[in-house]
Order: sequence, then C-alpha cells, then structure tokens
Amino acid sequence: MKFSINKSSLQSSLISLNKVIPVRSTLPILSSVLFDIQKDHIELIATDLEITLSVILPTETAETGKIAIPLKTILDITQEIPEGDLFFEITDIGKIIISTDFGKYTIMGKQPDEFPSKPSVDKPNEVIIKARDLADVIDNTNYAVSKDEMKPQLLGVLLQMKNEQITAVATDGHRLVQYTKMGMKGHTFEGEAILPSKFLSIIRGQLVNQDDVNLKISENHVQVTIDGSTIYSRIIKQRFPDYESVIPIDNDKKMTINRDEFLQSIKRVSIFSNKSTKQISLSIGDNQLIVSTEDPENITTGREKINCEYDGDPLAIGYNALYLREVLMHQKEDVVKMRLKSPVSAGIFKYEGKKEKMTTLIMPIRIND
Amino acid sequence: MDAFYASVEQRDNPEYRGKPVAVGGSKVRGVVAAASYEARKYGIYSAMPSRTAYRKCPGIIFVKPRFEVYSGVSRHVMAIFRDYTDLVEPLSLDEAYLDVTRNKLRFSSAVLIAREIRARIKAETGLTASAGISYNKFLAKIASGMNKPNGMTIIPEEEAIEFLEKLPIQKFYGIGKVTAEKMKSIDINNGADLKKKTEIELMHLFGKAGKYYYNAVRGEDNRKVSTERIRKSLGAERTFDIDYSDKEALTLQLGMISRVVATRLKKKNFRGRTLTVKIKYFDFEIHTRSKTFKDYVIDQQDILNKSMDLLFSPKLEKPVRLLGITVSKSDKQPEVEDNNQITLQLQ
Repeated sequence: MKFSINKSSLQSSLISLNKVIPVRSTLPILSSVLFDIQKDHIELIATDLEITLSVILPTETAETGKIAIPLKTILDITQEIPEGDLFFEITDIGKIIISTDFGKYTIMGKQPDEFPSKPSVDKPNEVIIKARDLADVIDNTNYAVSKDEMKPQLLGVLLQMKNEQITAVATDGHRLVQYTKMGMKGHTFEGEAILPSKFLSIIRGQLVNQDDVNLKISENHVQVTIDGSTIYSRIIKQRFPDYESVIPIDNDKKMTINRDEFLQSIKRVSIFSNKSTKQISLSIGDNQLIVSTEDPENITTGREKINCEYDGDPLAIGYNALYLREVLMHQKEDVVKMRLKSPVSAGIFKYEGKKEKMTTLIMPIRIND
Repeated sequence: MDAFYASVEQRDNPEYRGKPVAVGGSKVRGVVAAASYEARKYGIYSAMPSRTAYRKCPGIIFVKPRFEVYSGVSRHVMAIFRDYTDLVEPLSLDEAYLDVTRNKLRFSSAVLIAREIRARIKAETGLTASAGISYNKFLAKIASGMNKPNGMTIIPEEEAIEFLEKLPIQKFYGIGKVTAEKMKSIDINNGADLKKKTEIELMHLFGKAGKYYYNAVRGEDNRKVSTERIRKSLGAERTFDIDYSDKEALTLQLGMISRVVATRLKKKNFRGRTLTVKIKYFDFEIHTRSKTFKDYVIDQQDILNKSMDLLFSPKLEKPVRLLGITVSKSDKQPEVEDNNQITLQLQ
C-alpha cells in the first residue's frame, strides 16, 4: 500500500488529532492515529474513547487499507520537514516506510483492528447554530467546568435548548455560570445534554471561519462537522445538579466597581498570597474596597485601596484570587455590580443584554479571624 | 512455624523431603517466598531473587505456591492457639503473639503451654513450630528465632538485660541489614554498645526509630498483645515477565494493579488518603513515592491517575521489574489542602 500526503495539511491535521489523544491511557493503541486509506482520500482518526476526531485529507492511491501509526513519531517527523510531500509505503507486516526529500524512515504500525470504531450517532436531533454563537457559549462557560473526576456530572457544560434559545451552565462547586443566548433561529429541538469540556475546547479551536454549525445530538453521542473534520463525543449521561436552587435571590449588598481596576488590584495583591490557597480578602465599606492578603507561612502581605460604590454594612469576605480573577475576566461590562450577602454565601454578578444574559456565582473562602 | 510454605510442600510431596526447596518464583524470574532448611544451607533465604537462588544451588526445586493450602493450615494453627488464650495477635499466616498471663486451662507456666501447643501442632498438622517465651513482645519475638527449627527459647525477666547486652546488633528485631551496618559503622556491635548511647543521640541518628531502639535494648516494650489488628494499608504489586522502561507498558501494568487495588478496597471496605507507588528497578533497588490527599482514594481511575503522576515524575532512572500500589491510612495533613473554600450545596 502506497500513498502520499502534503506536509502542511498532514501537520495541521495531526496537531488537531493530538489534542484528542489521551495524556495517559491504559490502552496503548490510543496513542496512535488510524489511517483509513481510500482511493481518493485518507481518513485520519484519533480517539480517547470519549471523544473521536476524524479528519479527511485528499490523496491518490491504487490500494486501500488501514494502519494505525503512533502519532507522536509521525507528528515529530512532519514538523521537521520544511515543505513538500511525504510518501508512505506500508508493507504486509505493518512496517511503515516514510520517504521525504531527505531520506527514508521506518516505524512499526499497529494492528488497525485493535483501534476502536467510530461511534454511530443514531437518529440525531439537529441544532443549527451560528459558529459565533456557539463560540460565545463555550467561551462564557467552559472555564467554570469542574476538573474533579469524582464528580462526572460536572465535567461538562449543560446545554438546555428551547424556544430559539440555548442556556449553558457550568460549575465546579466553587463557581457557577449560567449563560443564555437568545434569538437563535434555526433549531426547533427542545432538550438538554451535558457536553464534555474537552469536546467543547476542541470544537472551539475550529470555530474560526465558519458560518453555521450543525450539532447532531443523539441519545448517547454528539457529532459536529467543521471544515472537513468530524468530532464525535459521548454525552455525559448523568443528572446535572439542580443549579437554579443554589442561585440566591436575596443578596442585598451591592458593590459597584470598575472591573479593570478591580482585576488589576487582585492581580497585584495576590502575588503576595499563599501559593496554595491564593486567598485574598475584600473589606468593603463606605464607598471603598480594600483588597488585602497575608501569608504567615512566608511572611508576605499585600494591601490596596480602591474606590467603589457601596452603602451597605461593612463586610469582609475571602476569595481564591484565581477564581475571582477568572470570573471577573468573563464579565462583559466595564463597570460591574457584585451582589453580596454574607462572608459565607455566594457572591453574584449579573448581566442582561439584548441577545444574551449571564449569571455568575462565586463562593468565598472562610476567613479564620 | 518453621520454613512454613516450604515445610507444607515437603509434607505434601514426600519426594521433596530432605531436599532444597524454594516456594515461589522460577528459574529465571521472581523471588523466593520461602526456602526449606536444606535450601538455607546454600545461603538461600526468602525475598532472594530466584535467579540468585538458582545460581547458589542449581539443584534447587522451585515449587509454585499454594496459598489456599497454607491459609488452611494457618487457620488450624491459630485455632489451636485460641484453645489456650483469646489474646492471639497474628503477625502473619504462620506467626502470632500469645498473651498467656491468664489462660483458659489455668496453666501456671508459659513454658508448659508452649510445649503443649508445639506438640499439638506437630501431631495435628505434621509440621514443626518454634516458640519464644518472655515477658514482652519484643523479647518473645527475638527468643522465637533463637532455636529454629523446632526449638524453644525462654528469656526470663532476670536474664533479659544481660541477654540483650550480649545480643549482636543485627539480631535485634526491627534492626535490618542497612540499619545494622550503619550501627556497626559507629561502633555499635551489640546491645551493650547500643546502651551507651543516649535517647537524644539515637533519635538524631535514626529518627523516630531511635527511641524504639533506646527502649528495646533496656528490655522495655509495653505494647499489648492486640487481637484486633487494625488494617492500616492495602495494596497490590506485580513482578513483570521482563523489565520495562517504556511509559506505555508501565501504564498498562499500573492499570492492572490499580484495578486489583480498587477491587480489594471495595471488598475490604477500606479507605485511605495516602497513595504509595513502589518501584523495584531491574537491579532490585527499591524506591517508594507517596502522597497524601484531601479525599479518600477509592476509584480505579483515580488510583491510576494519581499513581501515574507519582510514577512518572520524577523520571524513572532504570528499567523496572516490579510495581506496587498501596493505599494507606494516615494522620498526615493532606498535601493538597483545600483550606476553607466554601462549596455550593449542589444536589
């Protein structure tokens, strides 16, 4: 079996496929890419068993067949070649001979029948979304997804689709964001699904020069095709927690503040916070906010004063600076309003625009004194 | 019990009697789990690599272990013990501490009890056992090893101090090869030498164990014979057919070991927050890497991920012949502490 592929298209495909390959796995075959060679094209497939990415590249060949090739080696050699084509020859025993303008290299392929088959997305519901809208949904929520594998229901973004709108929710228990995109014509599907964070990150990278995206959602899988790449993912079949009940409605203390000033202050002060807790304190009183930190372990302190609008009772709250920064970075207005209640309850940011609205919660750190 | 596994094999296979027998391993791979007394004459002892054993004694008979048989015999022997006292603390399948201060048959002498127990073990199982008698666990344990096989040693209280002073340092229970060498390098060759050191000096030299050595050499050991051994750790390990250095193969092995550990944790309903990965390199050098977490380590995937982190960083130095994973209880503070971060009450 012989075929050739253009270097730059192979390289960009392999870079995408590399994102799918599991960092660690008990199944060695998963560190390979399956080459499915057809008469006029080659399909390259990588999977981590949750997410599968298939990329189609043009080629011309007399024979068809399949072989699994270790991704890292082939990506490395592709990156070291300036331009041109790579010629592949695969022998009957699965030896792969790669020829370039510079020379010949051989590597052993792996049995293609060990490679997991692509998922079949049966009778899917189709949701057609503008690429820009889908990118917004992902950008505004995916950062808050949990990384705790013990809580599988939180490892993705919940998408709730109805009435020409999509509501997306993500939480790791310390932050929660609910983002709604409205006025979305083109889908009539009503339903919900938890889509894995990794899947959303991968498709986010491809949503660049695209108009409409067709999300195909079946009972167990979701599939989307962008620029000739098809990405499949298992849907997280867990019950997403009842998030609405944890969003407080009685946060009556409101601090209005310039978002950038607030962010910059947190960035500077947190440099002096404890390296593992990242704890900072906000002391809010009479139109002024004190951002401070103290790390007795390393004898460092930090303290800044900034103006804000606040007329409630004085309040002191601790936060993880990283969480607070990330939440603030995702707020949409230059001046933000933080709604608070007590040092141990959630702080809330709200935004309502014409075509989108967003509620963000952040949980404090208990201050010891 | 004397050369327990090997003796059981010699009992059940008359053709092995009087011959060097090693249980466990094979000519090329693995380690000796137990060696018969005939094999010990060639310098073969348990935990020795099979290949070394074979080199020392090419005529050695390697026998596959039959653990179900050994645990059957063990149950029988433990039952004999319990005819005399309920205070039985098993140390392993073939070894236990018995507190016979008050015994069921109101024997006035521990020596008589030991004699009778040994006779019954011989009559009922066909195997020999050795006994050590003294006034605390530390001394009893040393005594039990003095007249093996098929022997009995008594260390009365009035002789204990003199006995310990004369005892070569490597014979102290709890002092292994490495510690013994370290002690010899600072002129501690026997109990008397050890006694000259102050508690502070010993703790400086040996850490927490120093305190134990200080008390041990004075014949002081107040540990009770405890019938309930609280499990402190649970794990599994695996010796490979060949030595591995590539990440893929090691990951695959770690996957299998973590599955075994997860299953055992569930079966024994055991929970621990500390995970330890044991690495034995091809040259038998052993390293352990461990970490204590905030939450219990229970799930297979979690065990795998955490042990992979430990195994692969820092980088492995040499090809690996054995990997093990242990989950243990620990009073240590978690290294990844989540302090006072409040969490949403999601349901």
